[in-house]
Amino acid sequence: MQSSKRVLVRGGLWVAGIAVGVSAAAQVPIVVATTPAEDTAAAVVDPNWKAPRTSWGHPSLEGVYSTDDMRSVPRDRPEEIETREKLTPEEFAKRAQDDANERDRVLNTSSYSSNSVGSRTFGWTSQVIDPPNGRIPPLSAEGEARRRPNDRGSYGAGPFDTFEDFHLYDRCITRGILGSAFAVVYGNGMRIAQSPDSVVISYEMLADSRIIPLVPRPHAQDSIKQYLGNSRGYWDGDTLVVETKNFNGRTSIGGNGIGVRHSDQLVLTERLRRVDPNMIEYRATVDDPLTYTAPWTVRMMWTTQPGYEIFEYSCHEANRAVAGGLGGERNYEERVREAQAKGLPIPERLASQPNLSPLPTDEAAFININREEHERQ
Amino acid sequence: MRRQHSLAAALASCVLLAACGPAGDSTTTASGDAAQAASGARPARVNGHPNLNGVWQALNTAYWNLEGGAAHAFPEQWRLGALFAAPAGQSVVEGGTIPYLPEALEQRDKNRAAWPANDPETKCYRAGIPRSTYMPYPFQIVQGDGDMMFVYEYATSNRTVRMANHLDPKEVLVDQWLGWSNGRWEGDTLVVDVFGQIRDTWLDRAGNHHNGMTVEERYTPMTENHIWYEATITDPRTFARPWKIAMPLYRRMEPNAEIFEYKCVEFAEPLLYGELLKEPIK
Repeated sequence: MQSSKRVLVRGGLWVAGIAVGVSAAAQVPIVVATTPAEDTAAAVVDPNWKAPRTSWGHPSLEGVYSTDDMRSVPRDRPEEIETREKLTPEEFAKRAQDDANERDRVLNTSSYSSNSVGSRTFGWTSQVIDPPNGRIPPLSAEGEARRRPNDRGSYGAGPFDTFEDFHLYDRCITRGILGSAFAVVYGNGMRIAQSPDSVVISYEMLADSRIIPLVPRPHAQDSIKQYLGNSRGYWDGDTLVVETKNFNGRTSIGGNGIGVRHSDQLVLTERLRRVDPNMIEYRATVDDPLTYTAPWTVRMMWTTQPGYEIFEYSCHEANRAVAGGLGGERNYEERVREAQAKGLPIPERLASQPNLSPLPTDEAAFININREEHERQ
Repeated sequence: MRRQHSLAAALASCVLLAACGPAGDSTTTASGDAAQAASGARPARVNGHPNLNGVWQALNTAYWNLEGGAAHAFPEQWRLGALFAAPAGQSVVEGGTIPYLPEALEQRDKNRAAWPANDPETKCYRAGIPRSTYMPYPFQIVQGDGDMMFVYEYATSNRTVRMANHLDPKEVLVDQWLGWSNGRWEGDTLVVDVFGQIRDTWLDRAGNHHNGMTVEERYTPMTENHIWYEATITDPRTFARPWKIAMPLYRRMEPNAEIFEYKCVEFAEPLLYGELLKEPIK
């Protein structure tokens, strides 16, 4: 079994889960892409291409995908590119070279603190495709009013006094639907399973999952508000359309689900279409007038990656971020009290620095945490 | 055949009305056909195998104690009165009792004395297999042509059952809370081998536990709406011999049955970290 290298460091706080590594003894050949990957999709190359079918006749979306290939496509388009959706050949050549360099660093050079890496280079100038400038519209006044100093959780500087001072990712609760899809440094996998009456999308990070019933049935009653909302899906030709509402208004739309909270009136419409044996085109339209000044749509390609394996990201079971943040803050308060009692200067609050804890020096301790157990068997 | 015919008719009217189930026309909801229609026409087989798709739930006291027992209160929980006590139930263990090795039985008793603080369920930890199956929450089986997914409402946990590309248990790099699952069909029975589960987790609220078990699960359809579930547990460190539990699983028959979020992390945080808050929870 192959495994991707991944470590679990973020915001300077250690969060548990499963850290798995395999040392890359053999050098992986690095190829610099010459054609934007979206132009190589089977449905683009051959307009008559049809997605594979399940035994009951639905287009098949089943499989394990990731958004690792989206890591070099910015979510928001740089303003100077204006409404142009594709990179120029020169811009693409540079991105392809940068991607190749990153692959080489991760696969062939870096031994410990490496991240996930994709295998394709896309030529899109942004993931946001509507509005035409490729940028998420500004927050509305109501949205701005929802901004909180502690939205950034452990990425911010605290203080860490209540659970609400951490974001939902710190707490291993959820990253939300779009927060689970935006590519981050690792854990970008998702598994799609399908039955005649349901589609499941299971996100690797936090091992979150949503069931999308394909039934002619209204959404659940309004009082059932949830982190991932309540979804209904139907097939529009070869496209799976998923309409989700009943959000609880506690999640945010951003990398790892971090940012200003959207409202509980959000309606999210997602469209999934298989455009290649190894690619699913994913579009999501965010309609939340209480948060954004206009609806907006993001497009990603969910792609297969060679040897990609999803491990159970059992985050909460060994989470140290919340206890560490709260405990550190209480410890600091205690030291302040001691200093005041002794008439000494107030000690520096280390959490104001970007990294609270140094990287471990003992790599083996964080790799294959169950190795010893298995050797014992 | 007649039933199928009327089912198709109900489904068609349901699509035309574009609204079924409780939030739609209550007169159609009252009929069984409408109930079926609301959950979609269900083929008897998927890709040649029994169709296990649906929302399922155990209905017994196994989550309190696999070995069953008389109804009893938990004296420390006296504030909750009759709201919180274990009902009587019969053992789901073949032969009645779990064949512990002596030391493991002592550990079980220690676990029991330390309940609820030490029970992984109290902390909202993933429950493992088979415990996830008989917790008092529904789960959904998602069965298509390939790998299957089991999605559990408790802790919104899930696992993939590999129907192809089976893993060799010796090659598993890491243990997981829900382990690794290889599935296969033996006739109409879905057999799932589960291995690589995190050790020292519990099997119920009575402190029953394991230390690196393997589990063979068997899901055998009894009727369209019942599955006979068996799980054989093997763990020579803990048990004198393999032992088996068995119980029916019931289809949730509500026309609008579905899995909701039981994201219990936030329910457990005050217990786990409450003393570290600025204003500690005592």
